Amino acid sequence: MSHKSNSLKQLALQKFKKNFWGVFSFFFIVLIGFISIFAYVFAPDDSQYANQMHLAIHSKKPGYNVTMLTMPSKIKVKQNSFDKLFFGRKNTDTEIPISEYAIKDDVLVYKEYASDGLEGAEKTVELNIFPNNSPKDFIQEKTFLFGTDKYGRDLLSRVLVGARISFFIGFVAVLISLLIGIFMGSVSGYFGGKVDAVIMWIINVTWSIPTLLLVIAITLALGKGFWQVFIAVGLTMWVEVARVVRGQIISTKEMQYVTAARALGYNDFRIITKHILPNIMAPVIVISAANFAAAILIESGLSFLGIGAQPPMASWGAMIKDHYNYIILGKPYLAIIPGLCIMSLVMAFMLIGNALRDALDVKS
Amino acid sequence: MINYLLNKIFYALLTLIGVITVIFFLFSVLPGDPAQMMMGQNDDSKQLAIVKKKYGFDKPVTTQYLYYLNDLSPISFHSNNSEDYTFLSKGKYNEASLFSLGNTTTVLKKPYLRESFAKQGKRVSQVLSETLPNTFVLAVSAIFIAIVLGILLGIVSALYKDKWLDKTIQILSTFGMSIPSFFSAILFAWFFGYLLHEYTNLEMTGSLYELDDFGEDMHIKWKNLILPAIVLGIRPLAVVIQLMRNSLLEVFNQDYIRTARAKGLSEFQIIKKHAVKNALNPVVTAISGWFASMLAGAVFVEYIFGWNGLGKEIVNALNTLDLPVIMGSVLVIATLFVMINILVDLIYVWLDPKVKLE
Repeated sequence: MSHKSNSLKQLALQKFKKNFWGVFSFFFIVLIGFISIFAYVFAPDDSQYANQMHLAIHSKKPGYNVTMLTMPSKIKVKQNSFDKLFFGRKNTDTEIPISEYAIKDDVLVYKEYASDGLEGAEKTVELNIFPNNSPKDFIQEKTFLFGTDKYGRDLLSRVLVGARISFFIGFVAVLISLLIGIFMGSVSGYFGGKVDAVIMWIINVTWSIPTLLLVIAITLALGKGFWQVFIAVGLTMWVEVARVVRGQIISTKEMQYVTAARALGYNDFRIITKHILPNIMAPVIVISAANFAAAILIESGLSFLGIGAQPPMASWGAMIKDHYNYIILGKPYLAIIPGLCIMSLVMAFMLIGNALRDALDVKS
Repeated sequence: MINYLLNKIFYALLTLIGVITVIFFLFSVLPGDPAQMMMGQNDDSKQLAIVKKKYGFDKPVTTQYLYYLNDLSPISFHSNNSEDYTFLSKGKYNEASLFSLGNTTTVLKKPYLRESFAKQGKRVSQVLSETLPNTFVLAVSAIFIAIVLGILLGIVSALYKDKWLDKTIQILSTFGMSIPSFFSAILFAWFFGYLLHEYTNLEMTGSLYELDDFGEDMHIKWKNLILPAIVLGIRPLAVVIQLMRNSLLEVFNQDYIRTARAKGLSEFQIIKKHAVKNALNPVVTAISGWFASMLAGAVFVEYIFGWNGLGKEIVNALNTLDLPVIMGSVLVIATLFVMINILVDLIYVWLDPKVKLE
């Protein structure tokens, strides 16, 4: 006997599955999420923040190839594999792009790479700094799939690692906005009266200050940095959640199941959390998807202005800031690649938000 | 009606006091000594003490807050003692004296936004009056583009619901909402101002007023408005398209549209006379929302196109930590926002007679 279940959740899920862009965006977001968690596994440059600079080969075209000599450092950093996997290798080695090399007796002679047809300086290094006196493993061909940025860092790695900030800020900001927003919204909507008036006033005040400027003010007050931005964005976005929750609660609290719960003598906390909130989650979910997108946009904007994530941390907005002057120097991809990344991630969240709105039948 | 308006205005004032409080306390917990910021590299301790005294930085934060409120309030109280911060020194407030009581004078004045840190002695109100009109021109042009194009594309999208035309417009409008404004500004400046410069004759950067070739006269250059206005209009345009489409689709289901069809009116007449006006309400309500996103966008757009507006001024002030300018800008924007909200409420009442004044 087949069991046909028709719960609201399942109906919504069925509807969601039929929405091509929604499903597409879902898998896209899962993919980006996976990449951002394991960024250092995928990144060709797995040093911390993908920050291995080679000034000699700055701003090279995508697919650029060079022979790279790695000078092993005497300082050995102890790092456990978990740390290395998730936060990148703490790198003390120096990488030198070279154009040619030869081994003579017990020294390695190499010519430093120089662009624009210039002759690089010839240098020698004793072979005994390499393990087993063999530099073979330390001289490798390196390909930069997306080219290099203005400090000669691998752009692909920076992009991959940069996905983290965008993703993470979405999570933190949405979490903070949900915690504050649901609390304020439900208290305000459920109790009404003076509490409502005060909370509405706070909402209106926050609402009247443009988000970007409020975030800037909070960031300045807390000090530049990436946690500060997370908190600042969360502290401004709760307003929308609170408004929606309040509106929903006001219309729900007169419903019979709430009256029934009250008649059974349940306390307010239980009525709000167990009876009302589960019934008004649909619009909150939709708003959260939109907030996720908005948070990514705001973070990229702040980083673009230089008050978001601070260097050497990789952030898409900061990458555009560093490179938008290069678009007239014939290297527009340096700014366009991170820009496309921001756009596609934001768009995925918007599309998933739209699909959820249709599936959950929420009126905008 | 009068009562309704008074109520609204009272609430708006209450909101503004909240905004002032938030802004003041956020900026007063800022690490760093504001007096030192004003002095720059100069670290003469005597002068520092004078500056601190002059601007009231030597007082506790709550007193400074009261001073700030007093400076901003149109009706304010001032001490006759020249040692006090509130002393009516010449040319500071441009006040009109109302009456004196004992040691304090009550005056009527324009809100005093203090002086810029970075531009020695320049009033914030002066800075704002130089930049705000440019931003206003930019914002109005952008909104104009957004409304005209948005309503048109929204109608087209609703008429061809679920056809490829509708789907294309939908995807494009989601696209428009997803693109960070600084990124679209960079792309437009590059593409139309640089790559296609020969054909468009547009520049990558430029403001509304530019010095002529001899560096003598300021000339208005409308040409420079085109790119920033389009870029700033992208996001509101995307929003208007969505709102217009959805609200038209709802209107199409109404009885009066069926009646109009039954009467044998042409499709064009139905849309023009019956559907569009009724579908406009949500678009009007959203104006206040766009205004906020508009100003946020303006910060980036002005910065990239070098447009001499409030947004660019804010970025400059951020780099020099020119707190009075930042605070003044935020306050002015919040005030505008609150005023526009009242205006939108009134327009809404006028558009939809069903809404009662309460």
